[in-house]
Amino acid sequence: MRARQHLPYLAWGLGFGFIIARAGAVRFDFIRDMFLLKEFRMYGIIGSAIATALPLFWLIQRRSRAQGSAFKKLAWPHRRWTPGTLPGAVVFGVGWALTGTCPGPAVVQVGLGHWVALATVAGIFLGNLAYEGAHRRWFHWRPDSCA
Amino acid sequence: MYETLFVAPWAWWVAGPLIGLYAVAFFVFAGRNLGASSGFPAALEALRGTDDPANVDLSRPDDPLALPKSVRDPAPRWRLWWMAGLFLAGLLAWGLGGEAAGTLDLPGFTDTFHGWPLLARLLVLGLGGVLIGFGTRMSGGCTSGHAIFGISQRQLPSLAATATFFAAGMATAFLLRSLLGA
Repeated sequence: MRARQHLPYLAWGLGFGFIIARAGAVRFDFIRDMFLLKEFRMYGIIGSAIATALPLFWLIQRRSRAQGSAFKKLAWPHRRWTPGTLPGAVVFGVGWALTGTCPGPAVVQVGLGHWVALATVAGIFLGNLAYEGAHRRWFHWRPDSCA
Repeated sequence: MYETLFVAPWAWWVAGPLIGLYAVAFFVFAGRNLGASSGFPAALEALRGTDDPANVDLSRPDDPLALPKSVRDPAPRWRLWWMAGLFLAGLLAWGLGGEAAGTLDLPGFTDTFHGWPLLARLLVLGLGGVLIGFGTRMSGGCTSGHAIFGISQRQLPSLAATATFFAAGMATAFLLRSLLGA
């Protein structure tokens, strides 16, 4: 099980879950009002997260090319286009609006005691199984994954 | 002070930059990106026993649907541990904030689908979940992988995917509102 190597990831998950729970990014009403353009909050959160991370990632990427840099070992990720990139995003967007949650917050919602979110989590597993079947049968491209 | 930290939602200009710093710190610590949606296929791989590179027959042609893994990864099950952390974070936030304790409901969900019986509302969540699982797997990412990590690392497919899932979400929300008359 190699618990010692895995424990830091438990802490990272705990940190991320706590931030998004306290930010309200796990709330159905906040996500609904974001899509209905009634609330700026979620745009502010996602926008300022990107505005903070983008210049730092850019600096790291530049430094990682330099000789003897501490970031030398970091492999810079490269996302590929696949025929599924945009159609998949459409399907995900519809699900996001119906449930008011993306994959991470769904798990946090269960922890928060909103037990109905177990239906969302079960659905996400089913959707993955359905995609695996569909991909093997009909899609012939090499999939790309974020992590 | 307690109220601000643990009960009221954090201001967006606190939460957003924190998420951004978190993303950069995670990348530097772990040497990889994060994607919440890939936790689900990781759990399926763990159930099938195909998630440890030591158990996978490397002479067989690679399964294109398998998650990227490396033989030298000291933490091959990191996605599962990270997801367990998400669940614990929910418990912690609930315990500290007492937010909507003991309710089956998601805040605002029953209001939106007012008059719908519990079973019908569960079906909406289940169907939405299927679309989330199918769509994120097909697109190769969700709000974390595409929007936060992807855009911040100037990946064009991630920017396009994010614009697309926001547009689809908006269309769905406006359609729902006119159908349900909220």
